[in-house]
Amino acid sequence: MRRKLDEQRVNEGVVSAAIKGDRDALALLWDDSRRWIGAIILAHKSREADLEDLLQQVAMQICRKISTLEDPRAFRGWIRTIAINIARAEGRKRTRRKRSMLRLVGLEPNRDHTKDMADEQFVESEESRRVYHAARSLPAGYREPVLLRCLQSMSYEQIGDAMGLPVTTIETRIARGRRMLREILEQQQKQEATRRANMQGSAIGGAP
Amino acid sequence: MSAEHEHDNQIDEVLDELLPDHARDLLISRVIDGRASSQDWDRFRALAANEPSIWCELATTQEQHESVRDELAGMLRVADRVELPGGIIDEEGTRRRMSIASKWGGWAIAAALLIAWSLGMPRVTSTLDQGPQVAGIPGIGLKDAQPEQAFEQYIESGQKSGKVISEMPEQLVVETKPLPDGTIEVIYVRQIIERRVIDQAYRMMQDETGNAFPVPVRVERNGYSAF
Repeated sequence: MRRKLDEQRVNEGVVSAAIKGDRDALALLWDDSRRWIGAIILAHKSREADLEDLLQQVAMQICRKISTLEDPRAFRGWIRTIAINIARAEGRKRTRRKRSMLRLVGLEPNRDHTKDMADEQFVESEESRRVYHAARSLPAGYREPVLLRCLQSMSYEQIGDAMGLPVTTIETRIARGRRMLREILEQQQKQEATRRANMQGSAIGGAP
Repeated sequence: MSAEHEHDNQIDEVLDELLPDHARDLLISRVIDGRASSQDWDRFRALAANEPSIWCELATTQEQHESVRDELAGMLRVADRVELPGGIIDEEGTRRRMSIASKWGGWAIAAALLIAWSLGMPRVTSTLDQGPQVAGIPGIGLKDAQPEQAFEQYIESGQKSGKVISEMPEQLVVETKPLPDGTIEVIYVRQIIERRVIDQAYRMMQDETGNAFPVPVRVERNGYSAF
């Protein structure tokens, strides 16, 4: 508990310094926050929107508006609001246009560099992608804490802080979100098994 | 209370009825997140003694949590490349120039200016002054060439040197106007894809008032990045 309080004071001190214009403090905050901000964007963005573009927009907004933040304790919630607004407002047109231009001249854009890197450095199976997409289909209020909890640095308290909800609600949402996820995947497996059985059935039935 | 929270609370209420095993879900979640107290563990074991299937649920949920975690970790690596705009944002001069550029030609001219600043703007007239012999059509210098010939020379020479990739197949028509002699005047944009090797790439961003300004970008080593 004592450690948590100390961390909190340090964080608030850094936020206060950033509000007053200390760019090193701001850089420190960004370094500490960009992954969970990314997770929030992933929870709210459309599939087509580019995470890197959106993160860059959030970074810009933080730089421009940090001085308007009155209460350092509200930092996480404030960033979350910025991230969600940007994720929702982002049109797909710009990214599509840039990519189509590269394709037109025969240069395949580095469409999904995260995937490329992931292919090299992570044991990423189709299964884990399927689970992730199922998690993205959870209702937003459940999807966000479930994803944030997957970041090792985010405690229930920090998630509650960012979402403006009590820890008990966060705990409930995560527990229920996980259950819903389990049920969605079970349902998908059943449907897949039925589909395969039907295909096999029709193949046997159709054989001469 | 925000509309978002109100909506989520309504979902909570519906789920209270649909998901009666709330205590069971909480226990599983606490075990996965390392938040289970000794009492929680006692309750979990007691539950498992009657319903061994809870172990399977725990294993499945743990596995799914790890799958999402791994997938997310891969996707979020991109975040490490995104830096704060830095000092450029405060450079009034840069902003003013980018603002002028964006008013005159949007992202294309702004990007061209940006590259020009980092490389040094080549003097357009210098090519024309070079004399009669330019790659492409032997014997015809750019000075004497027709616009179309000069353009072809530029494309050909640029492709040889690697500075020009190609012309975009689509031409953007800006205006069409009938002329007194019955012909039609077409004003259009030809788009050329060029290639430059630069020390630092910038992404063009816009502030709230629509002014463009550059933000440094870390570009991946494998493949092209659309920035």
